[in-house]
Amino acid sequence: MSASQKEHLKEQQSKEKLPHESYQQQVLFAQSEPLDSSHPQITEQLPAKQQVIFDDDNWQQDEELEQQNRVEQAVFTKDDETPTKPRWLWRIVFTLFAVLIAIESFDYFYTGFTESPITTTIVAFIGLALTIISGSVLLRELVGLRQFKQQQKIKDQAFNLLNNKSPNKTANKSNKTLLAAHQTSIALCEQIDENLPCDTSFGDTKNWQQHLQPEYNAEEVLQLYSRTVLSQVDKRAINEIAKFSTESVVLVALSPVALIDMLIMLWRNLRMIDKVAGLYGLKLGYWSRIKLIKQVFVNMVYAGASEMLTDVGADMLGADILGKMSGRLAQGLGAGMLTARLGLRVLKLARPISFNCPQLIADEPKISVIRKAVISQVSTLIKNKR
Amino acid sequence: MALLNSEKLKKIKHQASSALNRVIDQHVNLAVTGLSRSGKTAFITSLINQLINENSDSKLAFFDVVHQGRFIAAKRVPQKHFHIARFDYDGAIAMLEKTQPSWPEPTAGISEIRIAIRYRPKNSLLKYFDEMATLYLDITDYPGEWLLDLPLLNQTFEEWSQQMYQLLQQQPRKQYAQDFIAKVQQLDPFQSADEELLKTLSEEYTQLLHYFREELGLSVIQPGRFILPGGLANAPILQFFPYLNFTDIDANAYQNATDDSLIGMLRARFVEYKERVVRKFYQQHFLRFDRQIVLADCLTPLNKGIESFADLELAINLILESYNYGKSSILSRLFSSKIDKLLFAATKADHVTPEQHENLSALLNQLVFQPKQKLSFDNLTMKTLSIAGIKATSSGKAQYQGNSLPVIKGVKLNDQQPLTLFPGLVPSQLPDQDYWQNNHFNFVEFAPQVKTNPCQPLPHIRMDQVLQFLLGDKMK
Repeated sequence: MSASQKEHLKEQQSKEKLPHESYQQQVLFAQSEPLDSSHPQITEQLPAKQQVIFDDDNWQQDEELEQQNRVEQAVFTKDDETPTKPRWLWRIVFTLFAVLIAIESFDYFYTGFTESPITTTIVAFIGLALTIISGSVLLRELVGLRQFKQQQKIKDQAFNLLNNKSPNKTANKSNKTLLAAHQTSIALCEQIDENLPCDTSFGDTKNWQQHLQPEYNAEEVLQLYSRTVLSQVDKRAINEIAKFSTESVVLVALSPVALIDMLIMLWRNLRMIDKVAGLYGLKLGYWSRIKLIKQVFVNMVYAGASEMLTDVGADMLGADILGKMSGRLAQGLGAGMLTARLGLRVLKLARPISFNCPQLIADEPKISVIRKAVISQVSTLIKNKR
Repeated sequence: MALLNSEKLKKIKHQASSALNRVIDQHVNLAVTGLSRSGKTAFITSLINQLINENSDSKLAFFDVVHQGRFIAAKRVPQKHFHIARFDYDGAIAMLEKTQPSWPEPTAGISEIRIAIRYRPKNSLLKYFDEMATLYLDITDYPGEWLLDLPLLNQTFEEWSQQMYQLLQQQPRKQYAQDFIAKVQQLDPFQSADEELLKTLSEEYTQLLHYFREELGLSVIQPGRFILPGGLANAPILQFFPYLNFTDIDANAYQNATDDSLIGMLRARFVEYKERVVRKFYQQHFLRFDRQIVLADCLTPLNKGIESFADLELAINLILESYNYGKSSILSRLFSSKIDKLLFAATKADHVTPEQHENLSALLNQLVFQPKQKLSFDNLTMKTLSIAGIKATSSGKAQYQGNSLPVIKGVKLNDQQPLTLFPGLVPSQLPDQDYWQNNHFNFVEFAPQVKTNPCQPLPHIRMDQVLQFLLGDKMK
């Protein structure tokens, strides 16, 4: 290496906060090279493009830095959200409407208090109580919806990070994006972690942080998170789904009327959706639940005949064994499998990192696991009865 | 009294399961190859170390068996073939555990080691038989140079000599080979053979090959045994060289030359080399491998320049031809390799900063692109990874002109001084002429880190993914 390539740097404010934007700036080395447009990915992005040698004082271990970066990155991603702004006309309509209500009520109470004070007071209290109730409901719904949207966004982001790698595409990826992607992915995982109910994830998160190495790229970070933390949540979710499926098997088998069957199914399934979504940190309000259920059904339709065929075929096999014991139990088992399939759909939709990429597809939970659990639970139930 | 009491039944069950276990024990023959100095020894040492030192400190999150807690333990067991040298694991570890650690001694020939891995099966048929299953892993280490000899099998002495002549006529070989070419061209091919003359000239040729390999960093070295004789040193079978003057001699005279004449003897030794050395190696070893990992050091050629890099490309293509027996080839009838998984690993990933790893694997991916397409067609599973068997550096950031720059820190190999540096950008595509003109890449070789705790596995980069790819499907 030539002497000009070496440069020992003086001690610089090494402990200062690192400016995040600094990567974007192009910094060239002592003997300036002519910029070549055919090599954009080499000439840009990093502050230096050739060998640089440092003093020891300048050194900062990656683990210390990670913390800083995480905080910055988290703030950065949160700021990134662009609120959807309502249209001008609607705004005018709403303000006018509010003003109208204010004038009307003022008018009503002003005359009312002088003419019949008692009735008006009661009406005022009722009005106040109603406003408070509807306000809190509205707030809850808004929070739920917002959370749901955020979850979707996280999911999209994770999906992008996991899927934009093919040999040809990497070639076009700049170093800056590679560098940022690592940090983004870590921030993303932390964000997911914040949403998870803390009792489910604490130990696993520690485990994840322990295994995290600075060499990992964005993909590997997400994959690791999915494997160490989310897989544990998956297990719990599958247990829940199996539990609810067993319940619907038994209840449907016991209920004498078809109408009650339907009601039971609806009740159990709604409870299950709440529970499973809750495990992944989604607190569903009315509208967000409707949205999720809508997605679940759209998804089920799109999932297509092929999956249905294999699943149903396998289900039939399972149902056949029990069907010999009792026709009604077989009917219940059919209902239970429907619940299980719905539960799996909810799991896949609520999971912040989807299974929809080659690295994770092997970890995807299969309906057969739930079926086995359900059948064993039901058969122990029957045995115990006897 | 019952015919079988429960005690007896248990015993029978146990015996049956252990007998069955012996029958269904699984084997994997893993072949590790790479051109010399690509980090084979370090890789195998680390692989063994990760397996037999597995504990709670292991960083093997991507290796499913360990991740799912089904890994029980692994240990070394006596190898199957006693006539092959044993891989010197203890020696390598001793080198790494010194107060001033150094890289393990490179292996010159073929060596073998066997590891038994105990695990709890999860999905496979095995779980119905027994709680535990054992996987025997045979690791065979052989120089990639030996693979470079395979194309010789398809060549006659005349063809090979002409190819070598062309290679020697090109830069960067030309200026060093001038003397040798002149000497060979002065020879009278039909004079009676002088063994001493052949010996001196072949030694000169070997010197030349050594120089190409070590000083110029070139990769296409034929015949491979010349620089890594592996027990054949000084045997007459290694005393030949390409005859460089074929254009001037009469084809008929060449055909009729007896084995006593100079050219006849060269030809005879070449043929013998092909049959005795090259073909034997493939029949004895190559055929039984079922997993293969090819290690490549992309960084040294990047350092050395365009010729060295082009040579690496050629060498990798030649090596991969070994796996690429087309249907029409005569070779396909002789050898049908049963290798079903092939991993390309760009080693020494710890010598560049972490964000360059993707570029490094992208670069290797492009190097193997053409042969890879052909191999994919034959339903071989392949993967490219950038790894470091034994991590020698730690990564971090440093302030450079007021900005933060990713850097690595380690101890320099040649003078044992600590060093923190940013080695430059690794090109993510095959570098073109422009890149070499403004070559910014300059990597420095580091010594291994001092091992603080002998119980802890060696630090590594992506060895868990290597294990998962090579063994994951066998340990379900």
